[in-house]
Amino acid sequence: MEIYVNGKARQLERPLSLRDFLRAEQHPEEGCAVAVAEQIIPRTDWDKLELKEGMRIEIFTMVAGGSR
Amino acid sequence: MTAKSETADREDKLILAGQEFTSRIIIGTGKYESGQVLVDSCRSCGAQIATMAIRRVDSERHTDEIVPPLKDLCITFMPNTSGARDVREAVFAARLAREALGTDWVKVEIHPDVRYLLPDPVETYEACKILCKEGFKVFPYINADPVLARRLEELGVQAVMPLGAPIGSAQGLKTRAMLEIIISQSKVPVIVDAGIGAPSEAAQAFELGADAVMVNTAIAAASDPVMMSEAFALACQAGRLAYRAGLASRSQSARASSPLEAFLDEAMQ
Repeated sequence: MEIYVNGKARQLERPLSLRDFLRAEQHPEEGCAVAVAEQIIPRTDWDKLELKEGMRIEIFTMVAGGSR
Repeated sequence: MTAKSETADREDKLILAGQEFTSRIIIGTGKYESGQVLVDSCRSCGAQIATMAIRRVDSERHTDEIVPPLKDLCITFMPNTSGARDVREAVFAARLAREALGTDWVKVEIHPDVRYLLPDPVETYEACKILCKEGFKVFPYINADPVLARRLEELGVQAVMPLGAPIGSAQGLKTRAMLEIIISQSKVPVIVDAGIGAPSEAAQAFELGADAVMVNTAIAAASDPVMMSEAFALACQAGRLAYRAGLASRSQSARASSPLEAFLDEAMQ
């Protein structure tokens, strides 16, 4: 199954929930937000959201800075 | 510091969005050589608030995680919308940051022009309108425009953050005259943001009556950021105390500090 993460194609061997995917990627959940088609997925829905073929997910994280 | 001024200091709280703070320096987290230097600098000046950005994860680029170490310092997060070029992007960034950090605080920064990074007043106003309605605690970064500051205050922002000079320019308080008007009119806290390059300029902002300052490059780009951070803390304290003590008024002519004439008159007799 192919999904797109921040614009890059990714192969998944088996269906995963969004939370399982983030864990598999060892992506820290703290300071993280996820959007699908510009809709922000609340943290409470990360278990429920099953990643599907062709889905485009955007993962965001808090980083140092701003522009000062 | 004397015992008396220490007591006065404890009573002199900064209140932002209903939260009390004893520190009046807000730390911008960019440009530090490592997460550890950032944390040490925050500790060194006693900062209680820090601002940070939200970005798409770049799996090919390592960046230090900043949320956990700042959380350990009990820092209040003020996520910003930097990188946003218009209302739509700023509102999206604010909603993402709320989800990422679980805070309704947001510093609205919209500066489409990358050369001067000056905030776009129209986009900023519209974004603040939407975000205030959505229940965000909004802190807009603005040019030092007293009219805009008042209009934003009417929308219900928690503070205004006028710039002293362009971001990262270290030019000091170029907008001093306008900052004075903003401070004299404002019913919400005024946080002087951007352009402060030296501790003395932070002290000046407080002497004018600013409620807080936001500092990033001046500390992060110093040869010794941790020591510079302490220098800023001392300057902020001095400036704030001077403001509360009430500066003596200025005069064009000299004012003798002792009655010289009387002494001379007596000696001649």
